[in-house]
Amino acid sequence: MGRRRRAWAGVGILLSAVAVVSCSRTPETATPAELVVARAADVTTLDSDTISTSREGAETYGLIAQPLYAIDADGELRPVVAESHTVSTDKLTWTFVLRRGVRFSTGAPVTAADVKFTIERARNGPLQGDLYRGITSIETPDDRTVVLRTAEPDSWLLFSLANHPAAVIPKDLGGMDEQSFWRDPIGTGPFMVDRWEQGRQIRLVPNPNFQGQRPSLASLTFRPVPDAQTRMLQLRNGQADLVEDVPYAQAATVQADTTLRLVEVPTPTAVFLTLNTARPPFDDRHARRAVSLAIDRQQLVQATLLGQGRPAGSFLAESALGGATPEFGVARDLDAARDELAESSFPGGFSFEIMYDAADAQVGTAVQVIQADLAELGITATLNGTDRNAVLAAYGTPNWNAGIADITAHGDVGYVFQFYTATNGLGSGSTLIPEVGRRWEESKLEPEGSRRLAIYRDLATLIAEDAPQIGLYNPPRIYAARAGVQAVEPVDPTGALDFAKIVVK
Amino acid sequence: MARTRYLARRLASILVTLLGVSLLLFVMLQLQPGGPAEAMLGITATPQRVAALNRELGLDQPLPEQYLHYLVRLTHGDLGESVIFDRPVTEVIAAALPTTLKLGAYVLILSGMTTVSLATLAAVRRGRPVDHAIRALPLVGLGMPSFWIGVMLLFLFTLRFQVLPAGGLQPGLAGGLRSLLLPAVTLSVAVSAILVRSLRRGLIDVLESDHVTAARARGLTGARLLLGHVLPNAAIPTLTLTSLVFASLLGGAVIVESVFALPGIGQLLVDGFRRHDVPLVMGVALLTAAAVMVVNLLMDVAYALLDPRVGLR
Repeated sequence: MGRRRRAWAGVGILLSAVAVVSCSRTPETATPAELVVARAADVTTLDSDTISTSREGAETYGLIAQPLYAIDADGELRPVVAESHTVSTDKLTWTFVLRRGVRFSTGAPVTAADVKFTIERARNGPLQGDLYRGITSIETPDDRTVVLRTAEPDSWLLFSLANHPAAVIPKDLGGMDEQSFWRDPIGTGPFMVDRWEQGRQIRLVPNPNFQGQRPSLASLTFRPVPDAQTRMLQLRNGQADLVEDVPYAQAATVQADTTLRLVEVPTPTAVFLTLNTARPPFDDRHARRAVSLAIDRQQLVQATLLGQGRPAGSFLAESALGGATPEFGVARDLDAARDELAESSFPGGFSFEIMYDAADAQVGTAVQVIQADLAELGITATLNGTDRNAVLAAYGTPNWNAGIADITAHGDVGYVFQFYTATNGLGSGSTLIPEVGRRWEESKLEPEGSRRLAIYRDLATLIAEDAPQIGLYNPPRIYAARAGVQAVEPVDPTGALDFAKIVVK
Repeated sequence: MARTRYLARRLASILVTLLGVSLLLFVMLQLQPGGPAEAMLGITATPQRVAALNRELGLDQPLPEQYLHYLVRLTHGDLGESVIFDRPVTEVIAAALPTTLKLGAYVLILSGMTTVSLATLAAVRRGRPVDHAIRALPLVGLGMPSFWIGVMLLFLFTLRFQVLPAGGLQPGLAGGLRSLLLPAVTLSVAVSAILVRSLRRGLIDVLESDHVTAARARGLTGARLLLGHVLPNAAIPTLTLTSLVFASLLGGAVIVESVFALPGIGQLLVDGFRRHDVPLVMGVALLTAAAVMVVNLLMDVAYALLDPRVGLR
């Protein structure tokens, strides 16, 4: 055999080997106790401050580190690293007693010094530091006691402390530098990082020093799979055991498949139409109310969410803590809308532009429904699909009419009202309804939860009736899992799952 | 000596072009509405919070100053800090680059094999049904968008036959070959579609040339004639085309990496644009621009080596 012929034979053998290797049957990648979750996006950071930009990062970090108090699925605060707390009569001093026996994943006990370090770091966070800047001093009289002082009464303090930046980490990051620590953060949660490969996967394993009931999973792996169809294929061929963000169009198919199960969880997310009340036509209250009354929200839910989710009357989702669905506008009332229009400065109708994120197909459908609804009233809505950042940037200028926005309220919705009364596309209504600002200040001083939530409901009603922001719908989060994946339940009102309780059979 | 001078001149021109690309990119990214701070803070951004975050990210400096700082850092191999990954861009790219390189190599091998075999078959059987069929292939290959081919292949091989994984990158050589096969085939369809037509034309021209007739007269036939005399000459115009195809290959990788959940630089570019991560987009774009220019240079060198009439001057 000549040299050249041998070379060709070698190439042939190599290619055959590649073909055989490539087309051999896909092995099962997940053994029963190893849960693989396909997510829409990657965890880009676990830094407790910057994770506010990444839902996946925040939800992963929530499995690793725990705060003093946490909000459960019913929206109730429950002590976690803290055992209890007391508030002084002037509502300015909060004393927390730490639970005995809580240890970090390294085995080191949690002390008051760790809590102090955590809150001080949180206060300096560029993204979420605002939540903690009202805390003026932190004292640690002993290893189990932390005393926080605030400049003024802060009824949301416990909710702020339930957020990720306040999840307890070791003092001085356990001697590690920032970058190394946030690649493998140390916390007291049910899981800890085992392996993190950018863009590929983050694998968590149970924390051997977790104080609560240990997770039944041997490992929990999150893999980013941006394409929704590919995620569903991974579920069907066994590469993933659970997938997040199931497309609404596939919900019925999953439900009909006995090997899979569908889990729909309400979220504190509201999609709403925000109007620029500083310029015509929406400086006219009647024009705003006419738009709100003319929109058929039930139809919106059908068209955009294919029947999943709920119509929204407020920019605060009904399932958010303190969220509500005011009656005004939820049911379409074309006659009332015509009356409002007749009373406005534009009785013959008007034109305006709606900005929206063109990459969001769901919103693209919603604006078309709104456009058709308003056309019946003689209002012409021009649709301007653009980049999400362009929409956000436009809110900072005086030249916009209307935009589609969404907001997810974490914890007590009082903090959302803080932005409402402050600024931009969300806050343009504050000057129109002075009562909103006044009652919001009142809510800050109200420590009793149910009374505070009642104020929020009143505020939501006031805003809905004035219609600077018009609630459209509340999209749910939809998960699909193999039938053997059980106890798939939310851990908090955001719709994130409690992976520590999931059982794989 | 002339070759060394040529290479030095070309490398210098690559550096100058990269400088121009970096300036163009910087200006274009600044022209985008909004900024990283607005993107990170979302609807609850207040002017005060945006200003504070811009200070934190060093974006409150005048633009020329920001660009100069960027260039100074670039000379030290520092592409800045990724806003979304919260770590150096070089590290982020280094983690993603191997996937894209492996995919690119796979595509080149697959499309090279397909192109040579189909073009040779079409040229040798010129005017027959097989030739017509192969000539129709580019219309099919270029007519179908990459994402559609990808999705169809996924349905067929992962759901129907269940012989390949549905996206993701599995560890190890065998896992890598399995994971990258469908994405590589997806990209190869369009690449081969372009190259087959060009190589077929080149082969026909060379097969009809005097030197091949002379070689035949000397008794050379079959593979020896084809590999020794026909292909090297016929491949020259196709090589030039390959360097152009390389640029479109990088563009295709952006879509294919998304459909197949591959952690490559195409994905990084999408994430960077979506979340206004200027340093990351700049880093990835500069890297791809440099890669395209270097491939162009290599193709020119290969052109000169294959065709003695072409000099490197």
